[in-house]
Amino acid sequence: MCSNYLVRLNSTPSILLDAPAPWQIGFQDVASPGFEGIVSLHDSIMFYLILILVTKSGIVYKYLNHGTLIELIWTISPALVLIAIAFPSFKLLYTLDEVIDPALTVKVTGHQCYMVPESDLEEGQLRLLDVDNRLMVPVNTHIRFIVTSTDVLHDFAVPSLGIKIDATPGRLNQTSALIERTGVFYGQCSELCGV
Amino acid sequence: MPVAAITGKLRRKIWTDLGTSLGLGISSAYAYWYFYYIPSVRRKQEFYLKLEKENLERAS
Repeated sequence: MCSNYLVRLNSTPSILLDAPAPWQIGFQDVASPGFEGIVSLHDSIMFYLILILVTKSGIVYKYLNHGTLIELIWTISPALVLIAIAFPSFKLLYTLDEVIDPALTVKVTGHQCYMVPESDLEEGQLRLLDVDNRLMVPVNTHIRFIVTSTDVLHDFAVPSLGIKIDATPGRLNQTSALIERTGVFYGQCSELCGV
Repeated sequence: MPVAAITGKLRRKIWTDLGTSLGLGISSAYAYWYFYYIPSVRRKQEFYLKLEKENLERAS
């Protein structure tokens, strides 16, 4: 799996951001409802985070050396904010964990020590991301991925689909995806597996 | 000439400081919401609507 993998859905070239770009800060473009939920939760939390960070940026307490009340306020209110974040976060987590009646199952096995000589890359291929054989799966179909490994811990991750699941030797993990649009989606092993 | 003790700064400036910081915080958060988040959601929705329309046209 560390040789990277890729899902190709049809031959239509994609102009969307389905692979990491240089100096990229934000997410890749959403292609599944699960990832849509993750991005939505992140963006909602960012609203409150910006509010808190700018408000607490040193303007309020610039003359303040000591104050029990203010200490209490800025200890308790972050705790309340964390509790407020926890509820939608857990709801999303358990929703993503559900594998709804899959029409197709793909078994993914992780391997260590695959290397690709750079001279093998063709024009337009992405370094450390492209593969020889692309996995092709249909759109608008519930797909189940059963993930395992042969040697060490790996991690099957495709950011655009919101998939990131550990590949553990001797154990089967499962996750699902519903791909909403065609495209070429890239992912890398997201575990420190030694390659 | 002795310098007067610097006291009462917090009391005198508290409302200005609170108002400024909350004003800046809330306006930054809303700027993020309306100038980044809402346009990105709109772009996404337009893309999927277009995709759906194309699929329907192809099917009919």
